[in-house]
Amino acid sequence: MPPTVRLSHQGLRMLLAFLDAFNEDVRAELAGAELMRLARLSSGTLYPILLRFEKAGLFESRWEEETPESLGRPRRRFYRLTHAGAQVAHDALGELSPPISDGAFKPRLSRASR
Amino acid sequence: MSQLMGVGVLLGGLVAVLLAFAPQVSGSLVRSRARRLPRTLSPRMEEEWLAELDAMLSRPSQLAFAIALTLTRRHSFSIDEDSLFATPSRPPVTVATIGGWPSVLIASTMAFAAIAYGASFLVLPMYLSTARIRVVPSRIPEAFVESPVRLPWHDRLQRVSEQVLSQTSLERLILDADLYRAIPPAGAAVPVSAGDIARMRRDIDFQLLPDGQSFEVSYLSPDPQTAMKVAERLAGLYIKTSVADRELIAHASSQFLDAQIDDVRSRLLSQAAEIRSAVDVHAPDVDVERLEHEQLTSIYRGLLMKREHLLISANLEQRALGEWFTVLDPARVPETPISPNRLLIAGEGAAAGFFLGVTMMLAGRRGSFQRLKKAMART
Repeated sequence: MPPTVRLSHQGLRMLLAFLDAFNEDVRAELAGAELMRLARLSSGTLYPILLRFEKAGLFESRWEEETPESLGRPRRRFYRLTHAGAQVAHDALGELSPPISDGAFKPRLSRASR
Repeated sequence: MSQLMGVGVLLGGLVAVLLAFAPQVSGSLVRSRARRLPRTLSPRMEEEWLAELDAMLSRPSQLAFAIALTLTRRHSFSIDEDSLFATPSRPPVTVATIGGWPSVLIASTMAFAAIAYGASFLVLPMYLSTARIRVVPSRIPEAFVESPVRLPWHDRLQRVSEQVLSQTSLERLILDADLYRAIPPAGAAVPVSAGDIARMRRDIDFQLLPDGQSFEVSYLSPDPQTAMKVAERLAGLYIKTSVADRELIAHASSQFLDAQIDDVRSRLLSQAAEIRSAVDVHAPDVDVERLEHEQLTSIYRGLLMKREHLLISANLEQRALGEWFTVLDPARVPETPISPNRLLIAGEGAAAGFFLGVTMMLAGRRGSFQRLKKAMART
């Protein structure tokens, strides 16, 4: 049973960006800047959502394995969609489908459930 | 317009400085933001954000990244259970229809208005001093002395203005009042450039007033004392040039008449000699020659009469009894600057900010909807 979390418009955009990467490679990992670019979100919007989704189990993250000394720069942190996250993303997209087929695209950008 | 350009240059300079120091500024902002997070998050986010900044090649992106994080409320980073699963405090429909864009619009409008208002204090204040000049009609009736100056006064004013605003006249004024130039080294003569002349012409304003009997001449300067002195000098120049112009017209008319009189006189004398010879030899066309002589004599009388009138008119101009200009309201030291208009600049800044906010909103919403549609098409 996937966790039910509050999904905002921006959260959904981030899930979709991950889903794109996930569909190509289930082990795909994205760093913050790539996510910002793909989801077209600002850092101020992206990180709070990332942290919340990670806490909810939709994402998991890890530090880059090399040390900053060997890299010659700070380590980056990578995020990956979990199977639970992928399920939530699919469910959310499923709810968005009917309005699109009607030609009137008005997505429910936020939903609350527990 | 120049005010707007000034503010534009200032904002452009600010942006250039920000871009030049983007890595340092962004790093400081990100560190400061991370340190204001809960302790459990702070070290991780600082390291993560600095790494992301390091990976970004574009300086505007670095700044945007850091500024957006700085403007995000601390509460937004909260990851407690309530914030994850609680029902949003705002009705979903509000979030769905307008999201966070109204706040972006308000923030960009207010920020730009505030920046523009602040920047207006860096624009040099300008003072305008104005002298009002009245055109006084001739004090001697036209029926008594006919003036050689037939142009209506407002047409003549145009001629006078051209002379006052001529390069020679303005050059002298610039040198006398030390306008537009840095103080030259002692004894050094700095020539007046064409740019100085053009700028002075822009700073001088000349307007006919609706009463039809007076006009105003104004001068714009960053120094109120200079504005007053130059406006006063300009008013004096208008009066002096007008008198000189009238005298010149009277003198030119007189010179022309003198030449005509000399010509007719010599023709009269030679005709008289011819008539005398014709009488001596009993020539048959002597009567015709006499008739022509009488005609020429009449013309000569008329010219002499005109010259007398002209001498009186010239005398009238010299005594300043003809139409003349007088200062009705002398130039005063202006107390308040006429520019910059801070409220207008703030309003323009607000309009620019609002426009930017709307553009961001439209671009952002259109882009996100397009991406959602594409994603839906794929799934």
